Amino acid sequence: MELLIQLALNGLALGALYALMAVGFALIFGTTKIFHFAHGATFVLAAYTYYAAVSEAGLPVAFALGLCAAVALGFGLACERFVYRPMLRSESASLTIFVASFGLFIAAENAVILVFGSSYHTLESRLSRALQLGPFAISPVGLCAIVASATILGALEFFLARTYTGAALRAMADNPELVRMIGLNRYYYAKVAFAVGSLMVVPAAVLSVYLSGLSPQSGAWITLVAIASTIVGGVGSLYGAALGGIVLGVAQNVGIWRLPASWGEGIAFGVLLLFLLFRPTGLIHVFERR
Amino acid sequence: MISYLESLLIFTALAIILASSLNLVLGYGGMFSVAHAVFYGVGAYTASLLALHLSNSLVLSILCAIITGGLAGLLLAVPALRVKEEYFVVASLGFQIIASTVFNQWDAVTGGIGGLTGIPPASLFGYEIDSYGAHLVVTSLLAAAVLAIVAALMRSSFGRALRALRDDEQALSSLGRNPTHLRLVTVALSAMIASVAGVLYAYFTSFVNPESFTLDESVMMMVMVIIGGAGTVWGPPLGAAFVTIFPALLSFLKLPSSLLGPVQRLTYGVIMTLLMIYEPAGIVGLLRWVRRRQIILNGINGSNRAAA
Amino acid sequence: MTSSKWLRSLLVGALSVLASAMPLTVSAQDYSIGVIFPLSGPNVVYGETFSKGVDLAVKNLNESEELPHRIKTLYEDSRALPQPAIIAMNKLVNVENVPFVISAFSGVTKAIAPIATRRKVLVMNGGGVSPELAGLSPYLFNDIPLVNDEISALLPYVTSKLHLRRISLIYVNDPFGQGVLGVFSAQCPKLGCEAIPISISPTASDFQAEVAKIRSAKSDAVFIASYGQQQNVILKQLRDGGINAQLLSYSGIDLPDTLRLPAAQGLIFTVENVDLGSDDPITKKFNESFRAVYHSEPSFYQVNYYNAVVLFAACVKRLVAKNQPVTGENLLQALREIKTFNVVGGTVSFQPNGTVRQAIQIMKVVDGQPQPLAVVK
Repeated sequence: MELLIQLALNGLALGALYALMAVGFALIFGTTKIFHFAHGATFVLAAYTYYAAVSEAGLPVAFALGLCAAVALGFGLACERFVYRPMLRSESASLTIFVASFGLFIAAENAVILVFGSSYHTLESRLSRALQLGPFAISPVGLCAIVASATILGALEFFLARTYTGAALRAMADNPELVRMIGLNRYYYAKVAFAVGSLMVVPAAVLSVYLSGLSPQSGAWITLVAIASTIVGGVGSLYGAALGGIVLGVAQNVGIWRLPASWGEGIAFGVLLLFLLFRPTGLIHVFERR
Repeated sequence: MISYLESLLIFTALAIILASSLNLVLGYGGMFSVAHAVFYGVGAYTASLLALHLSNSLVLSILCAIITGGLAGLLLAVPALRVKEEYFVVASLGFQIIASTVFNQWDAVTGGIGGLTGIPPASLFGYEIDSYGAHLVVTSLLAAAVLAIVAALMRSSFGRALRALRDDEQALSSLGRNPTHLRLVTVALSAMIASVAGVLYAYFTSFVNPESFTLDESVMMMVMVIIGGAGTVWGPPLGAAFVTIFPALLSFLKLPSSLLGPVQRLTYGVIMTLLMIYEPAGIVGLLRWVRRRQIILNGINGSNRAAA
Repeated sequence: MTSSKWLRSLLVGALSVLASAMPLTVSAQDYSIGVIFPLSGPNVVYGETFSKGVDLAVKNLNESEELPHRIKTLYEDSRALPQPAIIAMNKLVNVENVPFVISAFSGVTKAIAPIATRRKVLVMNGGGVSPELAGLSPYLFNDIPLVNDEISALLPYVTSKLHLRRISLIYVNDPFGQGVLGVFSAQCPKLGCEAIPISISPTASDFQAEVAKIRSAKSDAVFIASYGQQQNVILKQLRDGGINAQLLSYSGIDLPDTLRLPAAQGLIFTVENVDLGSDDPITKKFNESFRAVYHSEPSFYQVNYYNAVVLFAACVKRLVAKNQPVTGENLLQALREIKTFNVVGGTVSFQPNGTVRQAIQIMKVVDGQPQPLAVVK
């Protein structure tokens, strides 16, 4: 039983990171309808920038964070401006856009491998050593993940609910035609969605360098998780995506209570497939229906 | 040198079978699957287990692989019936990851990461297929057969119905076809063909393990179809040839071997993105464009001459 | 140009590039040997370590002109995984026609062994230690004691001297790790200890779930059966997770960078006992040239791989004397006839199942350096 609770705790910390990735993806997908597979490339680029800045260039953490945010923001906006916008203008099919995004992802992942090699990197920090809480242990980094995730999601909620730009983004998600009719510039709001979504990658990327280490292949996994969380949570709902991330993180950990940990990935995606088959509208709508 | 070319051509022929079969689902059916390596793997494991425990007959192996591959295909067809477009992509990703986990963990059957070793050479009508030359002949003949089947299928009413399913599901019912039935058949057929490639692969390398059937492999198959031109008969084989022969061309650059893979994939990624922006019909689309320009230029030349 | 002409010229161009990209054919006079090591990926550190041994031996032998022709090594990258290894082995055997291949890693060696048997190519493994490698192929020889010998030496020591009873075993779920698990399950009941097996995937890099399982198992010791960078990650995460149990491992952890990690302090592990103090000419030559070329102390891995080439040269010398061609079959015959070889550290002879028996040394990491605790014959 202790083990089960400990695994759930681990899952919660991991799920908090997943939630950040998922909400960023869901925000972009919801408002622009672009299936931004390269979101995981943003993650890998941001994480490696931070790692290189701290470990190889020896820069102070605050400066490294700024650099990392700049890279994430730059990559997200470049994708929007140079790949998706021309394709939207020429009215490409959504699958065509997806394939272009997939291509970007493959290119970015391998560019990182060319520079840093394909093996793991981790950063040492006092904060990654576990705190003992009675029979349980959780690392300060894991706690940071949970706190950061809650704070950022709260801030996003405020932005979407209380600002004019936020309201326009919500309108774009609900009714893109209406937005065009009242004369809002949809490319401007797409840019905002990509900027906010890509910036949300930064805390997830930095914390995961400390929490579980870094490898270029982690991008594929994190993208899949972000997409899966969005679907498990319910497309169109940011709360749903966050909840989906936490559910997947916990499922991946608790699922291996009695199994070898190598089953974790399979279990997380088993959950996803079950949702796709039986609840394609996601968790949020399960609750709403009640 | 000869054996090197032979093995390169064998892998090209395998890639052609895989890309053409994926094209049925992805190009013609419009169902964007990233799980094709699963069926390749199912075929390879079926043949290996048969050869190690029962019989190394190529015909029997292919028949059995078609059955197991088809059944695995039906598993993927279930989500294909319920969800569309990007959601199906994600479902197929999930399917691939679960299958990879099973290949890795089901030690008793798949041998886990250590794999199944010492698969004997296949026998066909009493001959043992042992040399590279014999493998090349068998693989090329089967690749040609697959291309012929795909081409014939697409000219038939089945092909027309499939394209209608992709472009306009409403129109399909006017053709008197059941979309559910059509999707099931397409995914299963495509899986069967891919599993035949798995059989050939297992006998050629005499070794199978989960590394050959990962998400990465599925993505490479998708890359072949996309780069060549999805939904055309000749695009995927062209793409397959490009993706298999390109690394050999890269070795001309004398890069260290650890950089070859990333450079290759980086190139594919960039090509894919650029093609999607400028020419979503892939290499075949580019060739068509060149030909159209030729015709126009010839036309202009011709009319100039006539005027002169 | 019409499009078909365009296509044709493209094909011709591609083929000519292909032809010029072929490796230059080696002089028929050279003895080509294949080497399948991880040259990229998370285990590249082993490839770099091992190849120092091979390269030094080839350099020394070519300079000494003991053989009528030069030895030439053809390196292929296995990434320490079976599937790339199969491609490499097929290339070496079918395209380069090498009679002799040096291999590393259990999964790799297990995968290429059937090809060695079928194509009659002698394979010498100096790094893979899975017990499964014993007797796998008449053409496979391991000039490294297998891990069952190491664990047979370690377990009595830790149970009787250190009174460790509950041992969590983190093992990679591949031929090597499964071999370790097999030895633990066979030996623990006899020694009154209990093994708690926890399997991990060879590509895993996040072990928080495993750490949680180890903590709840309340074990006295944790045995790490992994390799390469994964070992470093496991060590770090065990320490970060607050596991204070005695850490145990095997020879694969004996890498300078790993032993220097703060998390590795106090770790107890085993290695084969190599006597580099012996003053026979081969050992002396090895010691001197190794320090001269690499400016560092050799590890037992480098001894094994140096010896792999020395063994090959001894067999070739015998074939030259008998005026026989250097084929895999003849090499095997020569190896069986010579029986006992003079190598670095003394003499070596193979048991019928293709393995060597050597004394095992138990080491403890103190201040980043391995210190010997005991030698088990």
